Amino acid sequence: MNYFYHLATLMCLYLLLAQSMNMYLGFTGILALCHIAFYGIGAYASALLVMHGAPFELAFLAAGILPALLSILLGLTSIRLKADYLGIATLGFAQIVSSILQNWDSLTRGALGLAGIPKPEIFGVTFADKASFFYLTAGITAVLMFVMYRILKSPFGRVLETIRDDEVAAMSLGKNTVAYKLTAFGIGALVAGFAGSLFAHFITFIDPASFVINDLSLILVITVLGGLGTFRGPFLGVLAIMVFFEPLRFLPLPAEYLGPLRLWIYSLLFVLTLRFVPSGLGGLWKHRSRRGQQFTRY
Amino acid sequence: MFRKSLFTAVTLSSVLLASCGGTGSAKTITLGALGPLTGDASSYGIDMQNAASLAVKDINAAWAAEGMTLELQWENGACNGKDGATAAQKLVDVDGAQVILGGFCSSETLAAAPITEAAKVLLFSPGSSSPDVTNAGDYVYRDWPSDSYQGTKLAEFANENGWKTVAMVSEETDYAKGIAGAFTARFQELGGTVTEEKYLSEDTDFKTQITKLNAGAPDAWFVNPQTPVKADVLFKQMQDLGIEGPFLLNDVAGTSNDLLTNYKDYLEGSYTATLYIDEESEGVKAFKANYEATYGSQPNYLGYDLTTYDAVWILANAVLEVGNNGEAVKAYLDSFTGYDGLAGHTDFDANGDPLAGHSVYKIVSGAIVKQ
Amino acid sequence: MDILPQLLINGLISGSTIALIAVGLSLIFGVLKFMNFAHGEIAMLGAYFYYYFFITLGWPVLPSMAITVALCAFVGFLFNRFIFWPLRKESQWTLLIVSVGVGMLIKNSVQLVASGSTRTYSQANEPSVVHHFFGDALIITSNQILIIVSAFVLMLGLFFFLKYSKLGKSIRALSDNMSLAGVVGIDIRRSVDWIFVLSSAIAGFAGILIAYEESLTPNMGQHLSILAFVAVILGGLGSIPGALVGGLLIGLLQDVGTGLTIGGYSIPSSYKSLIAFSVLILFLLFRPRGLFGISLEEDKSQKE
Repeated sequence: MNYFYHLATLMCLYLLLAQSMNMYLGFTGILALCHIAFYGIGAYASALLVMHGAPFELAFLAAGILPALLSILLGLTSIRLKADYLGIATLGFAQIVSSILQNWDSLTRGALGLAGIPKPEIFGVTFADKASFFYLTAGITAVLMFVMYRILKSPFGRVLETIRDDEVAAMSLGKNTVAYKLTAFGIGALVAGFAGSLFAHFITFIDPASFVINDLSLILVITVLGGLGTFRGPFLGVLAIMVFFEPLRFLPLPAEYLGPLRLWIYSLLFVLTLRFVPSGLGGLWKHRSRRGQQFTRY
Repeated sequence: MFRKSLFTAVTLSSVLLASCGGTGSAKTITLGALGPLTGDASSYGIDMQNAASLAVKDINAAWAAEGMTLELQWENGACNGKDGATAAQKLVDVDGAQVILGGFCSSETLAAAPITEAAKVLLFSPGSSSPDVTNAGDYVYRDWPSDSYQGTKLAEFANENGWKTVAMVSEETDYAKGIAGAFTARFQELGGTVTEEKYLSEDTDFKTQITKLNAGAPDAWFVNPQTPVKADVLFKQMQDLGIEGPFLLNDVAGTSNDLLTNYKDYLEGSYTATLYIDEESEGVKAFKANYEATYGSQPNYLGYDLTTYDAVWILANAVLEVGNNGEAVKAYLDSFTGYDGLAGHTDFDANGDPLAGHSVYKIVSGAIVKQ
Repeated sequence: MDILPQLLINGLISGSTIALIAVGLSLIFGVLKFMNFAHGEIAMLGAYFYYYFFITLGWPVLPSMAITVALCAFVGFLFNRFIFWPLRKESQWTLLIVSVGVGMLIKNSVQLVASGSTRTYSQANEPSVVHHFFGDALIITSNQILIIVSAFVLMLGLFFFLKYSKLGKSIRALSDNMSLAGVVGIDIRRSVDWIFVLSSAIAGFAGILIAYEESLTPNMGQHLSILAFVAVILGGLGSIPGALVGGLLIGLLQDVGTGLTIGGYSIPSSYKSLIAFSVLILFLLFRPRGLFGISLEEDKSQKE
């Protein structure tokens, strides 16, 4: 039963990660590839604060706010850039964060990682066992999901979609598109940081290797497979991965082939989805094409 | 190479399947097993799996008279915390494991420990060397010594040799870092100077680090990588840049057969520190022959293979005597009087760390010789 | 001992391999107007193909190289024909994220077949031929000379190819103005195919060189892609000489930047990869068009 709670908790975390990435990638069209860095910063911030005596509530909040602030700083320098510049700049940012986590020995203990991270204690209640931790995670996930849902369905959310589909049109409506994009990016980073905090206190051991660019792939696959720019997409993506692909673990194949095989199937699905059904499982994203524009002079 | 590894995998899985299928009416005891079966560290995991399978075969032969069989249920920890924890949780809940062999990587052991601890399941690592494992939990044991022994031993040795400045090139990983920390602390205490240049695991070019360190004209070099392949690249680039020893090597760089053969002349007269293994003993010779006969190659990491082999025997003896129960096995190991296996005499201190440590070896024409 | 000459050579070696990948990236950008995130993976693939023919099958050097380069070119062609070309009318955003996926696919395929562990070519172990200059201040192996020379020769060849050959001229016309090129009767699809073939072949070759000098792992592609991006942005998008200069600059900055000790201070060499990105961010902030690129203000008509 604990194994079920364990998997369910991980599902919640991936759901949070995928939906928060969807917030800026799918809904707003910001191609940023540093989600894993926000996740890592959140995990480290929360673990370090609690290990130095801060209460969990404070550490949890800080774990969200720190990456959100950093994302806004990063966004201020690069969010005006074209998509490929932004993609590279954010990839570079992820690399810088990973490098700092590995090199800043006195704070992060480098590659040794942080072991023995305490379980969260909220108003005197400790969430030590798997079941209670799952309920905590599920509760937080539900709240964050609801908030993101309301944001996306509000006028604010509709502006984001307009920016994605036609930024010039959004500008001509008098919208400060940069401010909107920064906000969406910041919310994405905030939620990723919260997920990072939960992850750190759940596994109780983190090291820089837990937050490398490779792990971004799984989040991307979930988001794309489920359907970019649809609220239900990440739910479907997580479900598809967990329900259809987690059982692959039980195939009678040696583990040294099983792991790579799963990743291979994921990436194949990723490419096929984008190539043939860009709307993913969510199926609602209006597939836009801009015929005739790409042949203009660069 | 590709074909060979596929072939090994197929034979391995058939061996595993056969051992699962052949239980018949006999009583079967299942232990969990956790190691890095994918990724960069998988070469350790596969070796660990091989050594453990040999142990299981030998144990089953010995148990045949009593109508008992032992089997291992493997899960992949992928040498990281998340997969280590998930694998441990599955072993504990789905497979009902009471005793787990592993993890191999320290990250696996450290992430699995809270889970096994809560379920009162015994975790026994044959390869985790992080100093953090010492205090990971009451149910955590290992028969591989902490890295701090290795660093300290080499620092004292370097001092006795009269070396005052050591240039260290070190990988940023838990294993290498534990050694580097212990070496530097002890060597400085003894009045020496260590200049360290680090590289990250994803780096592939070390010429700058080597050039920079060489500018300081050190008395000796300490080569401290995480995997033999990185050691290979380091040796090649050091050789190309005209670096001459003496070299101190950690036990990854200093005990891999491939490296000792490929760089036979270059490494002549280098020193390394590893767990003391009496390669001349009958048991070790038989193990090596058995390994080669079964898997078609010499063991890659003899030291780890032997601790794995011993670990399976220790656990098997324990469950045979007190039953497949984590608490009972813990009590058994706490009142342990020692086990004389292939890796020498194994006994534990109050933290579940082994009492035996590292010894210094000299590399002489492609083989290690105890000093 | 003065280590600057050695650092410069170290930087030149890694820089010239980065430049080879950057050139291909720049060519592809020229026509399809997107940064191909999968391009570094082709170099990784080349390193592994070569491993298979040279080490596993034990073929001699030249045939192994020839078939590796041909296979990489073919893979590049396939991905263009079946993925990128059909999507050319989509937004740049879609192409980018597809290329991220293609990169993952290549990497995971290699991981599946060859396992994730690091390898080297050094089973074929023969001691390098070492040349000493200025006493011991500069040491360079024959292999490393070969890397630098072949990078420059390739680059020069490419330059003349683009400048004077018929295909080269149509490629340039294409990146200048695709619809006009179509009007004057250039077969656009065929030319784009050729661009992928060419740039993938060069990347595959670069992969072999890198693996010879360092080592090969399935993760190396991503790292190479990023370094090549930085090189392209440094040199200016779409500029071939720019990609060359950018690649060399990145290599030199990384090695000299972390290697030099000035007044007792030096950057720890484990921060090597940080240098490239700090330079990238600085350029994005202050000179986004790079050293040789056209200004973004002149460039109103780009695909967004």
